[in-house]
Amino acid sequence: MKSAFARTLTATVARRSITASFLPTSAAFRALSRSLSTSRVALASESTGKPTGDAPEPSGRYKRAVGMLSWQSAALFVATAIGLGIYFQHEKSEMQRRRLEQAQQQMYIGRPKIGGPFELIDHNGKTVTDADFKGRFKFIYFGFTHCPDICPEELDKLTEVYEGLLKDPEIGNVITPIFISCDPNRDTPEQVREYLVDFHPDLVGLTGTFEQVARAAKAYRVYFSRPPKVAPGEDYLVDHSIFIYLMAPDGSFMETFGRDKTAEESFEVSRRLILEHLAKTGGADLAPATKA
Amino acid sequence: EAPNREERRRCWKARDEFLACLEANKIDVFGITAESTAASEPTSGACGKLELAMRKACPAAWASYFITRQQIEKRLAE
Repeated sequence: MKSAFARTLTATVARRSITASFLPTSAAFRALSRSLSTSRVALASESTGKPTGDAPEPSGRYKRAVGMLSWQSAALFVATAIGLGIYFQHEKSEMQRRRLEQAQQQMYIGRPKIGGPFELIDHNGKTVTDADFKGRFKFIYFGFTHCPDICPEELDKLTEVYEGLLKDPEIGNVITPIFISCDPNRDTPEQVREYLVDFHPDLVGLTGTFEQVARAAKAYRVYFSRPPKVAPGEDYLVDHSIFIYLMAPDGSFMETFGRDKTAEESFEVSRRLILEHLAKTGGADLAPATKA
Repeated sequence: EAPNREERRRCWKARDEFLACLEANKIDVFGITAESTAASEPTSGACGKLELAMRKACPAAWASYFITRQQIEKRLAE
C-alpha cells in the first residue's frame, strides 16, 4: 500500500518538476538542449536508415520544453524517486523498530519490581551488601534453618538447578546461590553455616538483625511472620512465602520459581533466561571470573 | 541445633510411618491433638507408639506441624 502511495507522490512531484522546467533559462542552455534533442533525432534516423517521419520536427517553444524534459527533469525525477524511496525505507524500518520496542515493553509491563539494596551478615560473620553480589546472576531463597521440610526441599531443588547450570558449557560459573534467613532470632551466622553444609558448598548464607532481614525481605516482597511469644528454647516455625528468585548481574529481577516448579522446569527456564541475557549483553555486565 | 540432614531424614521417616498407620487403621486425624502433650499420652489410639516415635525423632514444632498439615490436607480433599 505504501509503495502505491509512494508512486503517486513521486509522479506528482515529477509532474511538478516538469512544470518547473518550463521556466525560462539562458540562451546557451536552450541551444544546448536543442542540439541534444536534434542529435537524438539524428541518431534515430541513422540506425533505421529511414527518416523518423512520424514525429514532426518539434517547433520552437515546444522543442525547448521537450529538450528540457528529456534530461533535466528526467534526472530530477529519478533523483526525487530515489530520495523518496530512501525516505520511505527509513520510515518503514523506524516504524518496525518502534513496534518492536513497544512489544518488548509490553513484556515487562506488569513485571514486579522485585529486588533492591540490602545489608546482611554472611555465614562467615562478614557484613555484605547487594553490591558485593553484582556481576553475577543470583538465585535467592528465603527460609530458616528450623524449617521442617519445605526449605530443605527447596534448597535441594536450588542445588540441583545450580549444579546443572554450573556444568552447562554455555553458562558455567556465573551464578551465586544465596540463602537468606527470615528467622534472625535463631539463625546466627554460625547456625546458617552449619545448616548449609548439608547443601551445595557454593551456597552463600545471609542473616542479620531483625531490621536488616526485614528490609531485605521487603525488597523481595517476601512475607515472613514474627516469632510468636515462646519460652526461651521453645520451638516455633516461621511462616514465609516460598520462592526462589533469579536475579540478573546488575541486581534486576528476572524470574521466580514457586513450590509448584520442579527442578527440571526451573532449570530449563533459568537456562533460557540466562542465555538470552548473555546474548543481549554479551557478558558485559559480568564480573571477571573468580573462583567461588 | 537445628536438625541436620540425617536427623531430618529420620524424622521424616517416623512421620511417614505414623501417617501411613493412620491411613491403614482409618483413624480420624482430626481426633489427634497436634500440640505436644506429655510424652506418655499419645492421642492416636492404635498408632500411639508411632506417634511417640515421631515426637521423639522430630522437634516439637515439627510434629505438631505435620499433624496439622495432615488435617488441612484431609479437609481440602473433602
